[in-house]
Amino acid sequence: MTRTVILGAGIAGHTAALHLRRQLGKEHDVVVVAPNSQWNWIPSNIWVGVGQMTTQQVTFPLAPVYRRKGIEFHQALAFELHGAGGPEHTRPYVTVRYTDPERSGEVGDLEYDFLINATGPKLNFAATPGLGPDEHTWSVCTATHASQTSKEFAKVIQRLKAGQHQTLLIGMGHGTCTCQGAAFEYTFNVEHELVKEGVRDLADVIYITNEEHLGDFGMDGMNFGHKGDVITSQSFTESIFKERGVKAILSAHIDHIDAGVAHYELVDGTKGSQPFDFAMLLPPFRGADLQAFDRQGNDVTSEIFAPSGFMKVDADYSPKPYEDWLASDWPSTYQSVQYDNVWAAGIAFAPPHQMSRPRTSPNGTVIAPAPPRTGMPSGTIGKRVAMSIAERIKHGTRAKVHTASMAQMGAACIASAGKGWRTGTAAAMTVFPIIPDKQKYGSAGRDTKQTYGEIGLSAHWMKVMLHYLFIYKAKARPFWYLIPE
Amino acid sequence: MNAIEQFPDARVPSAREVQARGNLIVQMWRFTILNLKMLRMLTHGHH
Repeated sequence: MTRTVILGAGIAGHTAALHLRRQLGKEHDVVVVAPNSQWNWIPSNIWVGVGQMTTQQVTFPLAPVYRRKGIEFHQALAFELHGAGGPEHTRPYVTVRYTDPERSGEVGDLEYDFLINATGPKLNFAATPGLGPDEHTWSVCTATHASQTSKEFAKVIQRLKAGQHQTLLIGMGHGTCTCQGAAFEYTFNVEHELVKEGVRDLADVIYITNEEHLGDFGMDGMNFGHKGDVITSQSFTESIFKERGVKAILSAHIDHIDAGVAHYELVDGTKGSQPFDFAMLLPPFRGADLQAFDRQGNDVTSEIFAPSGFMKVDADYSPKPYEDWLASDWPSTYQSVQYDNVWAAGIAFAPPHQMSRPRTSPNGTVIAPAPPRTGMPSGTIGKRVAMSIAERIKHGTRAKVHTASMAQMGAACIASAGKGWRTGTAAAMTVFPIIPDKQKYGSAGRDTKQTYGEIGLSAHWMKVMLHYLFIYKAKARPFWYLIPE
Repeated sequence: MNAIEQFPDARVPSAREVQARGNLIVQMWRFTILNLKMLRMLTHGHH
């Protein structure tokens, strides 16, 4: 009998838990530790943020699903990793603090044979003074944040209907943010709602980003194959901005935010301030605050985790310039560098470097979009890690190690630009591979036959279909495992 | 550096393209194609 503990119940952790439970007999324990009681289909939070969906439509309680599937669930936050055990433990263990109302604040140790760190990101609002729902801006990172944001957005529409001009600032709240796709989606859903409400003319919609150019998406841009030609994601995205009358501030790092004003620095060192009536700005991410200790209780956090708080895995972390980056720098097994029985899946693994060229202003400010690794790659990595652990349990150290390199994996992104069965629109983008491989695919870095972009109503239908399909899958309904990650 | 950009040189879709983006018949066809493209991608690489 073995015991696998999974920290986190997001896309990677929840996927790993369900696949592991399916592949292992009941004599093996699968344990999930997550601070939230609800699962959230985060890609639909942008619709909650404009009042087109409710939080109930994008979330469901985890406990009944885990009870039905025979997965042990602890609603708790892990804060210490003891990968070599300790004086009072024969096996390695994690220390957790319970967050469910019945045991709130209680601390406990959970032993494991195998551990998956799928803790996802910590939303680092503190990186920019004045950023976040507790300060001067709004967010759609969680369903609760998105619900708060929709209420504030409704007030903006009321003010516009009363004839007041409004400036809406949407984008990246720091120079090292990721998830530009989510900000893009929220920008155009806001614009779509303003048109629907008949108040677009009185509103200025401004997108602020750390990207060097539109369409970079933290992925160093893309070259879409189109009828024998190649269209850059830059011209693809600029076209949408021009068509919809959305302005942009590029290559920006927001330094601090006061009530109604964002103060930023551009990559050329110039500084500016952008007043706003409403701002939805995403925070940068960092790893969960997990501290690691050896058997004697010495702090070994810096050996297990990168300075960003993400877990070091089988990647090449040696510092090198952009020109020397290789696709092979990226991990494939996601196994911890220190522990043979620990893996990091989804956002929790430390990337070896960005995908887009990092830049620094003359003042020394770093403006470098972090690499995206949400959604499809997170789910795929979670599944592959679960398969590796299941093989190990069944066949011991001779077991096959499953790989899921983002340099050999494609991804699909459906970026909503407005909701509505007849009036909705979205940009459907596929990219292969996710990590540019210039040695294999030349300067484009990707296969232009499989890297593709298209805008239309059909892509919106697809986004709606994926919403229902992935919630069905996450609820582990019959034949859930046939739905790909 | 001009802080606020409006992309005057960006291509704007033609009236025909805009119409096709909302045409139900065209979009049903594109929906099928999109699904096939995604399935093709899933059969390649580490999925």
